[in-house]
Amino acid sequence: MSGGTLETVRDEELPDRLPADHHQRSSARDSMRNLPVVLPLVALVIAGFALQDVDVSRMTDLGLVSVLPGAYFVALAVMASSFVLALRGGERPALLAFQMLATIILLYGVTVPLQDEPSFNVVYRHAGIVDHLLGGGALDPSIDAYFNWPGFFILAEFLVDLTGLDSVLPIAPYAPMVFNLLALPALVVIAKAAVSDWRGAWVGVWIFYLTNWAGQDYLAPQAYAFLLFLALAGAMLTTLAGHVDGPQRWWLRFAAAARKLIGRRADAPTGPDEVRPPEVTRLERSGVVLTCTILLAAIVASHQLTPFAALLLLLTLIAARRTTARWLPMIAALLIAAWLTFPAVDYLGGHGRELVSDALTVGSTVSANVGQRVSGSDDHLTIVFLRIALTSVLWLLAAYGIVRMLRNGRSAPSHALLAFVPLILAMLQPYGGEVLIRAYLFALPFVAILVAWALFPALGRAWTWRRSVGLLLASCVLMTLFLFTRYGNERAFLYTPDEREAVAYIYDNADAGDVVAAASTDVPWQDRRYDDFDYQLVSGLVQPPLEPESPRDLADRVARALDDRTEGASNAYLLLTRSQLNYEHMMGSLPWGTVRDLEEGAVQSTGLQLVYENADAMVFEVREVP
Amino acid sequence: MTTHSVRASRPLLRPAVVAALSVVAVLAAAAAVDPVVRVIALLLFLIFGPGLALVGLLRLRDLWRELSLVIGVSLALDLVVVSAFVYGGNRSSGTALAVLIGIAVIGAVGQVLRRAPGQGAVS
Repeated sequence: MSGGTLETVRDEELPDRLPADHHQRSSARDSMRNLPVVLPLVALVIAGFALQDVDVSRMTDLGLVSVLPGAYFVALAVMASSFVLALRGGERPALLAFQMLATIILLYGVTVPLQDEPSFNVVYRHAGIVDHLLGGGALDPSIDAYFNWPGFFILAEFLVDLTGLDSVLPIAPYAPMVFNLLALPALVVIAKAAVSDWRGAWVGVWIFYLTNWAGQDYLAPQAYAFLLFLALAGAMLTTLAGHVDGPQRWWLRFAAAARKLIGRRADAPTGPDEVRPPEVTRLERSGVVLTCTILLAAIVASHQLTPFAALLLLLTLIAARRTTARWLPMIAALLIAAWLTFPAVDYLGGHGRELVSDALTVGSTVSANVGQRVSGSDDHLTIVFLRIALTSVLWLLAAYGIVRMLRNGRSAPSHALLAFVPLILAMLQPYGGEVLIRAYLFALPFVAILVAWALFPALGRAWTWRRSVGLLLASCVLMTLFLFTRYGNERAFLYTPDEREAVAYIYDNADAGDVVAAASTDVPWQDRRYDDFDYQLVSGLVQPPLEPESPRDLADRVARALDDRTEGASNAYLLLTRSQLNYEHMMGSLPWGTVRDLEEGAVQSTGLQLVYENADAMVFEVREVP
Repeated sequence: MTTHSVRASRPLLRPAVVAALSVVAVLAAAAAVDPVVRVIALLLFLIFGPGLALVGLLRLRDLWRELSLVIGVSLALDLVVVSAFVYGGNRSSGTALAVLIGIAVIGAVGQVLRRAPGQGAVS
């Protein structure tokens, strides 16, 4: 009876209530749909205000995170919420691209408002090469290794010349944002080639941006070459992808057996699905092969390591029979060989023996890439261990992602291989202690999509609030880790106008052929007169002392070494800066002594005369050598 | 996101964008404009222009795939052309830009000529 009454009441109210409810629900749905449009803007505004009050001079060896205000982290949380909300409903590519744009500005542009001068010493060196070319300087391969792979610098000089700028430095701070934004289409292509559900693909791209701490996207040849590498990878995994039949080689049998074993252990269905490559016309295929050849040519001309990473990618796909472009590895190998034989023959002549002797020396690679980096202050060690831990966890999650994909009846064999194959580069060369970072970067586009699957499998099937919260929390953790790992060295790499003025003093007063030295690599110099001066580091001039010495003895020793270097034909300058002291505090002292002692001794030494001084820098000139 | 419908309804969109980018690049290089505007205008052309003209000829069906190749090919062609001039002993940036614009215009014209039958152009 009561039930019937209730039903009656409901029935009577329905005509009025239903449209209202419907209207409310629809309005709430609209608000939810529009939130991801508004929230990134809110996040950017909050971050903009938060960064106004940052005092970088208070930064510790933990880097940027030590001075970032709480409001900036609120902005990151808002951004993460926005991305999570953008994954609800159907795919809205423009909106998702907008999320990525805002994230890139937040994460990769965070130091732009904090930089009085462009950050990172290597940027100045690169600007110096552009300046050298801009002034009509020769493309002389004997100057240094950069001139053996000058493509990127030629392009940068072209841009600077056309725009009428007097240096590439004014645009340098924006390079990380621009490079990461330009990488977006290729990253989406790579991600969508692995998983058929759009949410999984976009979460993979999102994870890439939240874990790309390698910092190789500054104004540098490797950043440019990496963009081309991504475009090449995207083409190989889509237009030129395909399962090619042929004799069952031992590695294919081994891979099939491993996949079966993992699949059986993981209760995977037999014959897992893969994302099918798109159907392509003959014109499209031929055109893409041609474009890949152009990409390879530009990669080969612009960077030392990326051509080998590209060749490795091509060979991996050929060996796994996952591409129909069988000739591309041959073309890549020919281009590399031609470049090493002609334009880079000087470099190979000078360093060939060293390169061969370093090859396959895994011990020295591990030592140079890991062992030698685990040093410095306690805070800096925290950063180093966070980097090692994050990288290791991501690679482990990628392995778990492969298993989880198999368990869900999916597989992405090309991505699974390419997530680990770049580690082969680490076996071939220490690359100045940087090869592991580079291998991480080359693997990251593939690792990221597998990590997405490890954490959030089969997102296409169900998108629940629980998963939304999980992704939000994971995003907040990764964003915070990103700030630690990516900007952990910022204390040393943010320069002041005073430091630059000291460098300008040397540019204005030193003559061509003069020796210009600094106590560590962390100096914003060489952006002018790149080939005019004999730039030196103290570590290259003096040996470690045989017995303890006073600061003055150290300064006298350095003065003598500088004087010897000039051979009496030119002058010598020693530049000591705030950043060098910070760098030493962060990384630990060098075998020859400390910057602090050298600074103290240089003031007392008769061999060095203070010729310029400001709050952050001192310039000494070698005079009466004791 | 497929580009089929966009391409069918607006077959001249890409050639028009290439033409606009080329004109903006010429104006930016030649006219006395603010350096920031000049940098942005020239970068837009160098990043998208040559690639959009050439990759557009392939009629790719997916916008992300197309955009990925457009950016890659543009940057690669810029480098190849400019380096060829420098290694050939000609370091005139204006000439290199003119060649890049020429490549872009040829590609754009090719796209117009390759419009589907029934759209008033050669197939």
